[in-house]
Amino acid sequence: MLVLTRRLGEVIRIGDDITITIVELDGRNVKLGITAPKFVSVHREEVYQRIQEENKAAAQGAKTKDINQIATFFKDKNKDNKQKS
Amino acid sequence: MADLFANLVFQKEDIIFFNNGIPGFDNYKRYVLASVEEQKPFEWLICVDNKDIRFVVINPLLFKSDYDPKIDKSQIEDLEIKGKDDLLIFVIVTLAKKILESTANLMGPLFINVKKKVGKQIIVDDERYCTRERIIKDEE
Repeated sequence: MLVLTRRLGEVIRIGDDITITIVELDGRNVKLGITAPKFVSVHREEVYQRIQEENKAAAQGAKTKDINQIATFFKDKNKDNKQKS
Repeated sequence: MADLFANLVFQKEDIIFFNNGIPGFDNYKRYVLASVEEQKPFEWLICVDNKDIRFVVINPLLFKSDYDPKIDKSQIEDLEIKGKDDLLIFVIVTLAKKILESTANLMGPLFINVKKKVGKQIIVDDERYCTRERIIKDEE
């Protein structure tokens, strides 16, 4: 990992198109301003990790489980709702 | 269990490009949407280059009619969506041991431009939505 020390207002440039600016320092929090091309996604790491884990769990389940039962339940539920209304 | 999609046939025009891949599967970028009549409204997003990589997906409005994630325009600019008809939104289903307890990832919806055949998983920064929303609530 490259570790750089920056002061408030200073900028880091990554590649040609990405910059990170120290926008605010407030006790234990650092506010970062990020510019990047639209095709580069920027996320809080823990959020990204949660999505990644959930995707992996979903792919794993999709390989081995049978969804017919939940599909049937869903269709029946919607049929009931239609009849009620 | 026999592979449901062992004999999947599709046209080149059916391929949807996820140019950033999908988190956890970053190098896999080509998918097709497939469905089996008995399993609707659930559908499948299947990786063309590795059919073992597949996701059960569903339109979130079918079980959460008020689903309305706050999304910044910049997050979907590269999908070049011109109008409502271009856009399909799905969420990925995580199947549970008790299948009726399966959940959907409302925090990471899939946005697909069906005209341009491009898609992306959008990470939604909205406290209302989590990665595991029950599709069928206990009371139902």
